[in-house]
Amino acid sequence: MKTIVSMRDIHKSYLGQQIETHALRGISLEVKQGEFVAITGPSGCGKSTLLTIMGLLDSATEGSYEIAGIDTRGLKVDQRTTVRNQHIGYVFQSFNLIDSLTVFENVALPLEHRGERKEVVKAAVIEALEKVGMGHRMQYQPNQISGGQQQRVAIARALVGKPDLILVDEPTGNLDTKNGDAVMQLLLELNKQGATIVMVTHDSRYSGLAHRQIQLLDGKVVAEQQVKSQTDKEVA
Amino acid sequence: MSLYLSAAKQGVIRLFTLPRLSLPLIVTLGLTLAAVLTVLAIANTLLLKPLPDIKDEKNIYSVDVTLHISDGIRVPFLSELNRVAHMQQYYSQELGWGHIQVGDSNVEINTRQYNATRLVSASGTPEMLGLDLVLGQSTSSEEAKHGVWISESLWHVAFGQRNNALNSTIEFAGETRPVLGVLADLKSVDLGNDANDGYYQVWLFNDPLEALTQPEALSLGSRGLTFVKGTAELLPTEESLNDWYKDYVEASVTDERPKAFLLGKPLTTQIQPVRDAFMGESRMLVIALLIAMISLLVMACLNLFNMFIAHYQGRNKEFSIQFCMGSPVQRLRRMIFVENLPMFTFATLLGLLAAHWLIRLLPVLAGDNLPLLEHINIDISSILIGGLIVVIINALFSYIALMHVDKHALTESLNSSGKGTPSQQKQSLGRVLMVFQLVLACLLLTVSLISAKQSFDKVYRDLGFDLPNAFEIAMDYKDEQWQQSLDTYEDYVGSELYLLRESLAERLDALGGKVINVANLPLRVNVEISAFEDPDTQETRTMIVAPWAEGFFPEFSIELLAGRDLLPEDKDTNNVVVDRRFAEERLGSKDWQDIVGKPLRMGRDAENVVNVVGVVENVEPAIGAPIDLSLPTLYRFRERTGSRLSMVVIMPDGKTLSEQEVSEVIGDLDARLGNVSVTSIEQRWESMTQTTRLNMYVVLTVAALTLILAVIGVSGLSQMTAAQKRYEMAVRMATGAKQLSLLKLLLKDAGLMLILGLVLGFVVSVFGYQYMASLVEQLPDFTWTVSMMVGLVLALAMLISVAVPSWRTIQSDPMRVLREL
Repeated sequence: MKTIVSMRDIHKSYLGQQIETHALRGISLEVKQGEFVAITGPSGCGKSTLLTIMGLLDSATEGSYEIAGIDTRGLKVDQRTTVRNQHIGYVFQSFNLIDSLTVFENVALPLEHRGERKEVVKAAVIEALEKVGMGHRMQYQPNQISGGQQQRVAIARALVGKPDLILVDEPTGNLDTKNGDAVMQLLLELNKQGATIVMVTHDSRYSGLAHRQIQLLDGKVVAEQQVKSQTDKEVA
Repeated sequence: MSLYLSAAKQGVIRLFTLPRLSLPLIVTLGLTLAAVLTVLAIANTLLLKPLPDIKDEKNIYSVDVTLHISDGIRVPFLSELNRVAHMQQYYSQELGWGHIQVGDSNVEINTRQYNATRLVSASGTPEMLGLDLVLGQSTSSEEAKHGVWISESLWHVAFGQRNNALNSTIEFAGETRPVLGVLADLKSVDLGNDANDGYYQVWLFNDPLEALTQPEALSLGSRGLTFVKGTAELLPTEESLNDWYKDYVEASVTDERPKAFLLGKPLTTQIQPVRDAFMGESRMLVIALLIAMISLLVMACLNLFNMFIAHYQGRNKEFSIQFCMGSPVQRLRRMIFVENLPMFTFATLLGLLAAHWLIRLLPVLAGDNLPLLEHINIDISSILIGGLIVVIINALFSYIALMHVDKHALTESLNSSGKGTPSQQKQSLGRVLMVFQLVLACLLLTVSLISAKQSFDKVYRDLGFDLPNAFEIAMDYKDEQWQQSLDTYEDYVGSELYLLRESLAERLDALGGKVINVANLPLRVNVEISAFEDPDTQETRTMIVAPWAEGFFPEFSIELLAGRDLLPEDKDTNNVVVDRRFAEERLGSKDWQDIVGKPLRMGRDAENVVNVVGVVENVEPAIGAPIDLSLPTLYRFRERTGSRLSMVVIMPDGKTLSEQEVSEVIGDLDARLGNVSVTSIEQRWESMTQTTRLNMYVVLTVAALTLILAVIGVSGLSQMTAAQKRYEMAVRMATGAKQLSLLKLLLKDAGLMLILGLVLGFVVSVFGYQYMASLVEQLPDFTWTVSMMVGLVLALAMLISVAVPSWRTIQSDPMRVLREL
């Protein structure tokens, strides 16, 4: 299977007030097409940092990172943006919808930035929103829908451009159990339809649903667990 | 410690720990407040406070009768005491009358010379005006016409305030007169003498009844001030002044030709409160300045306000907690008010200090444009007004800073993490303020740049001649009677004046330069204007009569356009050279060259005929003259005595002349001449253009300040908008937006407001300017080119002001916001 993510010896450190903090210490991993990978670990272990590097929202201090065969080292800001637009969909913990835009416009953003024609955008957005069950709320403002619905819209935005990789950061962190379960079910369905997903979570109920779990501690991979069959898994 | 005390303490601490907020506020508010306070102090002194010298000003009026000789030339008719005396007889005897003729004169007291203002007045005028008599007898006394009264300032400097001044004599206009009294300085009137503020004054008094017996002198042009005191119902009306004029001319002018001339000219009559007459155009000038300064203050406040909003938005969480702890929003506002008091107090102090210095600089900045300059000061009312302005601004800031933070928003701010959708702030207020600021900036820039352009055009216009290394050498006539006798000759060639000038020219030859035997440089202080009735057309022709001497045209590069220059052989002839304006006025713009060789009648007398031998290019004889001197000019070989004996010398390049050097070569030309002065053409140009140039610099400073404030304001708002939109930009970037498309987004966002502000500003400036110009005569005509230029410059500046901070925000990794979520 095609390798979507290939990370080699990734380091990330922040220089604060004369104190250097090492968030990631030599992480290497690969994600194959169609995989559902869960990254887990305690708070502060570096899982969100790893996801932002994977999503090209940040860059590693050391190490190499290839996404869909593209070496991201030395890419300029706009080149990274292009790669992100064409290959990555990102779902944030706090949804990050723009409240001045409608649900439709929020979801359309990646395609508009790609310069797609209006009719192509419209068809793709409707398809994505239908897929996440939000087709009936297209003209709503983000603040007019619930948290669970906002997260669904955020997922629709992430998958609308048909990216090679969907990165999901604590998708249930800001949701109640019912909404959290529904969002996880949605992600599982998307994965079944072929989406490659990397999800950061500290909730073991949800991490157990992934094909593979990667556990981090103090910026290092301390355990990696392969789940044999995911065919009949459902959110309890 | 109470909450308010704690807030005040925090305010003091923030003065030093938050210089990004405190320093711009103190400096911007302080300096604009200084400008406003300065103009308020000017307005207070000029428009509200009682005049410092004249008592009962409400019942004293100024009377003007002005004769329109030609389009550009208007001369006061009430310049002679006999005319005023006739007017006094014509109207109710219950009215009080006063009259002053103003002139310069040198006086000698105890062998020392003083440049004084001569005030020839109707006896009793100072008493009527309420001018204090410091020493001596009433000006209505029997002996008044034999002596003089001096002003308090002159008394101080010449007599050291000693009472024995009354026993002294002064040398004055070739005669010796006793000092009969000391009067308070006449300060409210601009006497046109810059030396010592015009406060060295010498008064001479004449009895109006005696003046009535004197024949009409038929002279026009010298400056006279006429006052009438009485109740409104007794005062002459402007219509009745017209009737008086006709009555006077009919009764007093016996010769038919001057009578027809005087009765045929249009007349303006005016009676107005004495303060209005003294202040003249200053009133509207002060009001216009006040509006400009208040506009600058408003613009500065808008800028500071944007900064305040940004600061207090950053402290939303703090206010939310206070609110949850039970503090009403009103109390939060009061706490903000108290917290900001130290900053605003410092701004007030800086404003008062800067205003004090600005007022001290006023004589340099305003020149002759404002009267009573020495009486303008920062008094208790200015301090109170300054304090009040700052308190109001602080209260407004405190109110508006939390206006958009309603209770719902406060609690929402607490419930959210402060990130994501709730962190988007409303920007409508900031945008409205930006539009308002642009409109103000457009108006102020239009007014100031049109005024600056007018000053620039005036100062740097083509004068029609070059400025070589030329000097005007002048001497005072010590004997006024001799001076007058020099002007009495049948033929100029061979006259005493001619011989005196020839003798002076010979001596000046020793200086090593080229002597041009004319009295004045082409940039001249005194201009002889002649008006006569054209016998062919019966039109009144007005022209400048300028002296000619060999070398005058070529040395100053005054171009000869047709015919020939005058020659020494023309001395005894009526040959003249005229300028192009003269020729065009006579023969039209097509055939003007045909004037060469034509004899021209210069009046009804047959002997008043001149023969034009050449035409030269027009020259501008003065810059910044109160009347338009772009008149036809006739050059002839004849000099007038003038107020001083003067001559022009052109020295080799780089060579200067000193008074001592000149005095040495002149030697003992005549004992009745003295006080040699040397003025270079550059000095003359500098002094003639000084006020205009200063006005231009002041106006340009206002324009620069306006532009800077607008740029700071818009870039501050853009920075704030971009900062507030960082989250949105980050999301857009995360979903694939490139930097350029983000910049376009921000420009589009601000663009609508910019276009709205600029279009509104343009419209307001076009109509606003024309309205202002109808009120303030000093404002030049509206010019579209300047207005369009203002729009373009402002649009460009605003585009940069939006683009630069937006680009900087885009460059500063907005996605950090997302990583921090």
